[in-house]
Amino acid sequence: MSIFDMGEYNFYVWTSVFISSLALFLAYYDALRKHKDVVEMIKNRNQTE
Amino acid sequence: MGLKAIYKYGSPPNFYRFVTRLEPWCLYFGLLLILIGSAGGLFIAPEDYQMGDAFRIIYFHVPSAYLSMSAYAAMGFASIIGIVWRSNVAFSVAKSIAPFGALMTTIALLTGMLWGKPMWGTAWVWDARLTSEFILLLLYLGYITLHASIREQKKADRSASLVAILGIINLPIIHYSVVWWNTLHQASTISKLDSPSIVGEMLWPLLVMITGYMFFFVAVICRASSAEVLKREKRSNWVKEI
Repeated sequence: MSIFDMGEYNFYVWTSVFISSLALFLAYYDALRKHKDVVEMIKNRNQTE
Repeated sequence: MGLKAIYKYGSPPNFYRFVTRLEPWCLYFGLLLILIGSAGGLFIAPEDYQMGDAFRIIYFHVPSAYLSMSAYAAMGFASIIGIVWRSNVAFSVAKSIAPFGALMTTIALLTGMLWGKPMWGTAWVWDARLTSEFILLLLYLGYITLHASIREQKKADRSASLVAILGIINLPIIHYSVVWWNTLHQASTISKLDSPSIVGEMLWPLLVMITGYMFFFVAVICRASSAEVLKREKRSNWVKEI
């Protein structure tokens, strides 16, 4: 049986793969965005001082 | 050595330099392991004789469940260090772990439901393992909400840390819930590496995935906690040089 054709299990397995990958991506993206925002804020403050 | 490391990396500039250097290594190594583990679990591991291909959800469910508990243990440990040594860096680390831990707990619960539906015939039962994991999610959310609801930074850190420390008691309950009570959830698969209840072809992708998730977790926490440290230290001279 092909992994892309698991019959009734297709939905359950691939949804698990999708939400897990999405969660990892969002977790790193959120951390990256937080870091970028703080660095921007500090740079702006340095320029205005 | 342990205390020396705490004092050395308790200094915000030292911590910031260390985590920004560590993060890319953990990120790329973690992603590589996750790719190898996913390929091994989805394409190489044989079909389970009872569960068929549905067992492949284990490669996403177990690493996120492991991480949900490990992250909480790390958050509790950082909170203890924060309270005992009044370390701003430790509080920053604990605060950075909370959203990631909550996310991993949610994924563990969701993938568990996706596995439970075809195997048990139901996505949710209030059995000991599922309920204690759900309480873990509430503890993470409690930490995040409490921290966000107190304006004064030090007070928020200390109050939220108490929640994190008290919640540690839930970790052994989650782990041993399948031993102490009759649960629909299966017993541990790899709690003892010398006698796992899973064959080698199925086991190696799982171990690779767990290790990959751990490295990825360290990378995310390095990045998030460095942002938190910068935010707290924004008026310091060393931050102006960045």
